[in-house]
Amino acid sequence: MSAADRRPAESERADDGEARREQRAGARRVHPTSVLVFTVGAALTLGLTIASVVSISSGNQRYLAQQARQVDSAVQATVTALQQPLIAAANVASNGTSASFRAYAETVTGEGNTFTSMSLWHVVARHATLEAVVGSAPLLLKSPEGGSTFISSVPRSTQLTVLGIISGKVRTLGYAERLPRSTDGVVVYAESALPANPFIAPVAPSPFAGLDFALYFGRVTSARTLMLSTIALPPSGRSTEAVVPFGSAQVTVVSALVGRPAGVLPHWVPFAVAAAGLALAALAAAFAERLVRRREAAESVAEVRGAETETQRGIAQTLQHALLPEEHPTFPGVEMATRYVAGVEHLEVGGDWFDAIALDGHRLFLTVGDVSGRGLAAATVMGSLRHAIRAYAIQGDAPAEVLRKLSGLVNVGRDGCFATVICVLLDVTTGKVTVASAGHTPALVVDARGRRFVDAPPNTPVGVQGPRPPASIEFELAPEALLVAYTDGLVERRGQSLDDGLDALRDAAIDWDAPVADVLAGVVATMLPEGAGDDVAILAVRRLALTGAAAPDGLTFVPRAKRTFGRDAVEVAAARTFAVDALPEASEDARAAVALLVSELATNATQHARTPFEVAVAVDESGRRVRVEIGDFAGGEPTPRSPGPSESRGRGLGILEATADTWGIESHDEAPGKTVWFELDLGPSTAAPPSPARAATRPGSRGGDGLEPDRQG
Amino acid sequence: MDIGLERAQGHVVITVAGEVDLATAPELAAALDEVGADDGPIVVDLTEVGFLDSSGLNVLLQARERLGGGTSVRLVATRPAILRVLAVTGLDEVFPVFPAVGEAASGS
Repeated sequence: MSAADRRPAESERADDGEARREQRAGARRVHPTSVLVFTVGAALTLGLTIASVVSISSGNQRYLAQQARQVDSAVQATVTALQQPLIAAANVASNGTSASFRAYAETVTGEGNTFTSMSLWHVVARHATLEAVVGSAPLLLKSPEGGSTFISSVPRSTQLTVLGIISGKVRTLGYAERLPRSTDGVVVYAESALPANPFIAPVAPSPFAGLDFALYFGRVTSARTLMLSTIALPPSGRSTEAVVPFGSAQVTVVSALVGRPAGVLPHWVPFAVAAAGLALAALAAAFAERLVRRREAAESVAEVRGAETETQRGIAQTLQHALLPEEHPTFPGVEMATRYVAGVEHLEVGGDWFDAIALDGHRLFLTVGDVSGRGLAAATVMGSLRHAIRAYAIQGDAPAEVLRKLSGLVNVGRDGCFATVICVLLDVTTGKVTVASAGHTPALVVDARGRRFVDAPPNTPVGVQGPRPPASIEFELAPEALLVAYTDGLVERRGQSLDDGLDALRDAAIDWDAPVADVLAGVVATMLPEGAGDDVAILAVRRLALTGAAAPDGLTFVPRAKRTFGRDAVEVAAARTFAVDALPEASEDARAAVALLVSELATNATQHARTPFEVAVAVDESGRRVRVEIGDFAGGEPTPRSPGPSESRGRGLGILEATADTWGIESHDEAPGKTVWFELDLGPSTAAPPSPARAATRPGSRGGDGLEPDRQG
Repeated sequence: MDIGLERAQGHVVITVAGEVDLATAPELAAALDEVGADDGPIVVDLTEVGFLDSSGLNVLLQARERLGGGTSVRLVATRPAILRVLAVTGLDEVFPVFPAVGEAASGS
């Protein structure tokens, strides 16, 4: 400053040269402002830079933390999904035999299933014996003492006991379940293979889809313990590490920041702010800049919050999908559809479910249920009930019996929750429906007579002790009739009674004759115009009209052989040889069944109609089902028989009822006589196992010509 | 169909081979009719029977009725097709069924 002070003094002796010097001196005089502007600008720039760095850093932290939570949820859902089939298998083994264990285990083990191997063990006095294996031989057997040490050390626990990674040709995880409070020494052990390449990113509906993380078994992060990774390892950039429980074991989750998470400022923002701030270095510009940045910061926070809410809801839906069946089975003779509508009021996973289980060629077991409460606890109960129902249904339990057995699995006092469940057993060929409801909203039936609710006997919800054993109702579902089961979220509204909601569903002005999936879309659109408040699970099934003589829809039978036989008794043997010879590809069981049924019906024709008879054999296009028709030419109406001890016709029809998958009698329209037909699956596992009870049931109204099975024994 | 009848100590063994149906059941009935109530229980050996339907079952039931029910007619069967028809008709609970003639004769 001293030079500048001196110069104005010199300028008093002015000349041309001094005028230029004065100009320069004037510029120097605004310097403090410039400095001020620069200082302020620089300060602002620095402030903004720091602010954006902090914003990015906290955004990153928040994103990483949220991602770690999601992976944790996904891990817990995985444990639940692994444990439930084991619990169900252990229950089945405890209540049944190793054969019923096998029947259930086969539905969850093997190609395309969760487990590569499932085995049943029996522990007596610290010694474990292997009783049954489904799938491949357990790798556990190769461990010292054949795994007996591990199996016998499995504690009775609500927690899944995890053996760890077994290094074989394929790295495999082993788990075991011994039911809490069990006294019978039953331990179920299962193995599932880890993906050969852990770097293949999971896709929906895996709950792990879309997350950036690596998952290690245990606390050591090495290639040997790596279970799954969606990122390059070691992770570049920021990552966090957390240890979360995995049943009785632990897994380490390394969550990484890959790419720019939505709503978070890019990492170059601080440099841009600094550069821009320094370049502008002007108060106005700095203010403008500051205003812009402030607005951006506010927007980005709002965006992050919105995205978090969405992501949270996304997790809930993903988990729900992971726990529900991926797709329902398609089943001959019915048209089926399901819908799951996630509620908007809750972010957590709900306890609603549906399931459809094919028991055999003609029977379907359907369930819809709702566990009270929300979150992983409700989802866990939901999953265990779903698997238990599956196990009991496959075992052959009727709906009311299934409900009775479920009551042992949930206890409102102990678990703090209960479940409403509806179980529907449908025989597709007869239309016979058995419904048992545990405090569940009534199923809706839509048929030619109108729309009405199934009046099933009231039973208490599962988990609440009832005064008497659960009861069920039976009725016939007519061809083309529709049955809809759903959870209460569909019909419950705040400020509206349940009856009003049920009326609204019954009276919904939609096209009930449309394809089942469209009916459900219509029901959802009508009942939940603004989306569901609570979660809703819906399952609907329509029994298809039987074409011609009650053949399940979609089956076209191609005639294969046809011949007329005389009235003589020896023709019976000729007829059965003829029918069996027309089916060279059929299994031994199927051939024996065809021989027996043709023999019975041919006997009826020669003995009672006393006419020649005709045998026609047809096989459906897929070659899996045979239809045999045996027609007689008896004039007049078939006459009711007088029952007698030597009567064989009645017993013959009993055999028909017990052996054929489906059968019927038709009177000829123009010619005299009638045709009795039956259908059988040709596969290796033909008709249902022998059951004296079934043989004794009457064919009911299907005959309609006065023939009755003989009940004498 | 071939039928053999053998009287033993305290019981009668009827051995059947072939197919039992409407045409052949009368032969079986005739063999069964030869046995009286005093001859002891009848053991019907169906081991070599390839086919049996309700015509044959009726004949067996008639014999059982005539001889006073109970364990008067005992069956020997091992083939799945025969065991199956007995099971679906519920007759496996009416007739005692044994895997071998010796066991059927002693009734255990």
